[in-house]
Amino acid sequence: MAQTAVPQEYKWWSGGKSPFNVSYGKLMMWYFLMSDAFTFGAFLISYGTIRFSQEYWPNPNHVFNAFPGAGHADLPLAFVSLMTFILIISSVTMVLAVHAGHNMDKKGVQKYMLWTILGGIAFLSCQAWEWTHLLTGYHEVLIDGKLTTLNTTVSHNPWGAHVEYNGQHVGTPGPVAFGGYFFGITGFHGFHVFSGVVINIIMYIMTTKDVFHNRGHYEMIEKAGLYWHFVDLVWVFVFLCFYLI
Amino acid sequence: MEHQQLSSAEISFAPVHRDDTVGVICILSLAKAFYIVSIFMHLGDEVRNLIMTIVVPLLLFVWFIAAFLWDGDSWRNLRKDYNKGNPAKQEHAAPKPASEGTLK
Amino acid sequence: MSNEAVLHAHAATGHAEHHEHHHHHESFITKYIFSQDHKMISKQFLVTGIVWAILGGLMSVLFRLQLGYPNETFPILEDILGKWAKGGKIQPEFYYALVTMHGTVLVFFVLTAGLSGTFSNLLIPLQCGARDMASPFLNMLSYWFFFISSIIMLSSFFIETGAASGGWTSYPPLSAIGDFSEGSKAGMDCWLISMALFIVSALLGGLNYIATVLNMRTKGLSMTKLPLTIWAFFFTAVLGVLSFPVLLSGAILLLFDRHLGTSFYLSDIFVSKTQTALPNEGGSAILYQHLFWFLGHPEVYIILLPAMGMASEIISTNSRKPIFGYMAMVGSLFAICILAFLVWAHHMFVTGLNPFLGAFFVLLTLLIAVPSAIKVFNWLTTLWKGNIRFTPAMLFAIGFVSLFISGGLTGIYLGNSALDYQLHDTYFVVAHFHIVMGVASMFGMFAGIYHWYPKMFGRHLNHTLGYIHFWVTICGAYLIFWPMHYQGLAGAPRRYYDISNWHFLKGFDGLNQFISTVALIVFATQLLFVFNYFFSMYKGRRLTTKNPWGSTTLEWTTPINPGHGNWPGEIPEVHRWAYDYSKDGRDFIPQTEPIGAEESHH
Repeated sequence: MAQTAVPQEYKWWSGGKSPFNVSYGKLMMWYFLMSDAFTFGAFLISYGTIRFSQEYWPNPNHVFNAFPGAGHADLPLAFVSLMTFILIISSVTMVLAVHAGHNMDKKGVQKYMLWTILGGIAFLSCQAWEWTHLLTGYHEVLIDGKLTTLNTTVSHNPWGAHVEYNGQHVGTPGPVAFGGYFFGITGFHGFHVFSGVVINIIMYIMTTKDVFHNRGHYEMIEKAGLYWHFVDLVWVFVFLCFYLI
Repeated sequence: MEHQQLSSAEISFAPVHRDDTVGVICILSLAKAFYIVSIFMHLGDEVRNLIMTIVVPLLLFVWFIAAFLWDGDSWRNLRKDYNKGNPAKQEHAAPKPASEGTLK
Repeated sequence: MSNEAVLHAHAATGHAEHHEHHHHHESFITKYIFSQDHKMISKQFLVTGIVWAILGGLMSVLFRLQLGYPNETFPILEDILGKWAKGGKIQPEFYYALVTMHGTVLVFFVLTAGLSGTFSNLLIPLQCGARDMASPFLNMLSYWFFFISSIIMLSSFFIETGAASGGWTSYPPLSAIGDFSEGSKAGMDCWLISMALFIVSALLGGLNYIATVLNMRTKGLSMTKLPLTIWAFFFTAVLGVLSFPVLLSGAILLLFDRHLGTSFYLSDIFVSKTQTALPNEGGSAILYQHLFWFLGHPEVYIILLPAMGMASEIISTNSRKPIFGYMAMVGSLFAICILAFLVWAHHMFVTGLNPFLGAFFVLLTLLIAVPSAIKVFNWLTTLWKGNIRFTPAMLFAIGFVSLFISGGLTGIYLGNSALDYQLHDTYFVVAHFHIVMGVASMFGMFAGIYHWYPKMFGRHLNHTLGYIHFWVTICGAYLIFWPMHYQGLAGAPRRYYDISNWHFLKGFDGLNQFISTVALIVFATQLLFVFNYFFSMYKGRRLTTKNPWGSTTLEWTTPINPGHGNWPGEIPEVHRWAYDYSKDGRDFIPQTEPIGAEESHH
């Protein structure tokens, strides 16, 4: 953000102006994101609490080891790394869109907004594939002395500890909360990505219609950018909690 | 770890085999979060007071996380006697079906 | 484009908008219904709050009827309530729905939306010297989300299976499984959806209040020159913005448990009614309590802080004395705001919370006594040797202080986990929180209404009715809730349909009847106030001066009936703090007056 030089004894708080040198809209966006951080924080902390209360928790390297088109190859966290990469790249294009907005470069804003929207849609598609894979993938587990197959849903989970059964090693049902939290929290994050994409599409249309150009500034792009980066920020923690530890 | 008979002590935490890396991963994640906020979201370029009003309230997460996880860990201890394969359980009568296990 | 361009562009559009309003004629719909004027929105919040207060109060009268006269029948109730009062006797399901809704409605709809929604909206722009809220549009949305949330909550009473009845805290597993009670069926879904919408409303409002206080103060009005009302509303908004989202998370997880088969809060459950074991496992009901109270505790301060701020302002104005210890007041508000987030589990000592963890919560809880005591001390010292004018607003403000002391002291008992094991879920708790948070905040709200009614409508409320209202209410409040301490110490459990079944509580039959009778009288007196409110809108004594109370603050520099934009000309500039009363031989000096060369320091 280009800032004019501020005198040493400048009275930020004396009234008649913003003490932070930002418009109310940006201020509200920041504080909204802070409150949204508490929504996600509450979800993730609940997840952590339940996980701490369990004796056993599935190993993400085994749960998330598939890649589209790779068959049964064991590729731990490869696909989610790709998703993370897509999301962070879409953040980069968002930064470039905001930067183009600072320079009143309408063409640049349009170009980078399109890339960002595309990145968001790509991420959502990846998530859809990952969900489908978990929901349709059946695994053999031992329940009440019988071998059955289970998929990963909000109410059961095949990723439990392995035990010895008739001389072979077989899985048992894992903690049910795993699926509930996984689908709940990645779903809530995905919902944020989706709404971010919708906001970005609206911003793109408004840019195309010269709304911001006539207004004299592209601050709306900046605010949409804050929201988009926040979605990326939340993913850092979702990624950490579900895939890495 | 997957393909062997597990005792309750061994399965107490799944990521046991990489406990030493968890701390590093958390710190790296926080570093990434810091860079997203300060560079991408340009918070680093804002007035110091604005940075403080956003960062300081996040300190509430410290107690939020600590107290919740502490209590979660305590529930695990409370449940211990009901878990399969727990020595304390085996001294009692025949185990009931899991769904009715804790009914009084 | 630089940041300056954005800031200036905003200022410019603000002016243009304001200019337009001088010529633009507003239609009924844009003026009274979808209004974006903060003053009209505040009235909308207040009137909706009053409607809810009447309904919530009526609920308490109904269940007090059951508690006071458990063996009597009232045939008229069956005529009105139908199957919920079969044979003229309130049915247990309905009783629990009443208790639940009374709590929900009073805590969220009356004392959160009705109190901070009304007065933050009215006073923040007026006392900060702003034309309107930062975003009038979001402000309007805030009210309408509240309105929709209200409608959904109200409609749950008309569902076949009745309204939510799991207590205002809606603890699972009772609230999670429809088979457990009638009220845990569709009524509970209404409750959760209504609360989710309410949270949206509270967030929209809170963000607006924060942005307005920070960004829109008039020239010269630094934060340390703000009236304490604004400080209180500001911290209230901060509390709401940081804690309501946590309840939203908790409510979403509960909805998932109810309808999607997840096990966040549920584990090892056997439903005796259907003789089935539920498949849920691994969840924890205590987790919901943690999430609920992470909001729930800040929520009691969301209710209390606006009352504290308004009481400070009214006590100082009507004592004709500067507030004692202004910075200590701000500091203690801040301390309460921080501590509010650190103490939630003191509501959960008996749930099976780790007792060692509980000890930390005891320590943090008892720390709240420090800022609370500072505030009480400062109110009393502000009153001390003041030239007190006993207006109805002042009486209610003093009543607030009295109730805050009485109720606060019992909080020290309950904050100790060892004592709480005995007192938890007894009438002692009911007495404690009704006095310290419920009635005290109602008193703050009444004080605010009596004090700022002239600003809202350009007329006074009838003072005689005000005095009757005050004396009956304060006496009634103590007569209702004081005896409950003794019932609670004796072990009377709260929320029970009929406590006369136990021999050791038999002695309280007469007392229960007495409490119920007083509750009915107090409720009737509130209707007197409602009459006064609406009657005075049209027939009240008109204001003859802009500043009827001789106040220093900015809202009294606006015209008697300010238009959209508040000040007809330039926004006044502020030169001094809000509490220059009885200074240098003058009764009061408005904030807009420059500091003279000869003037003494305060």
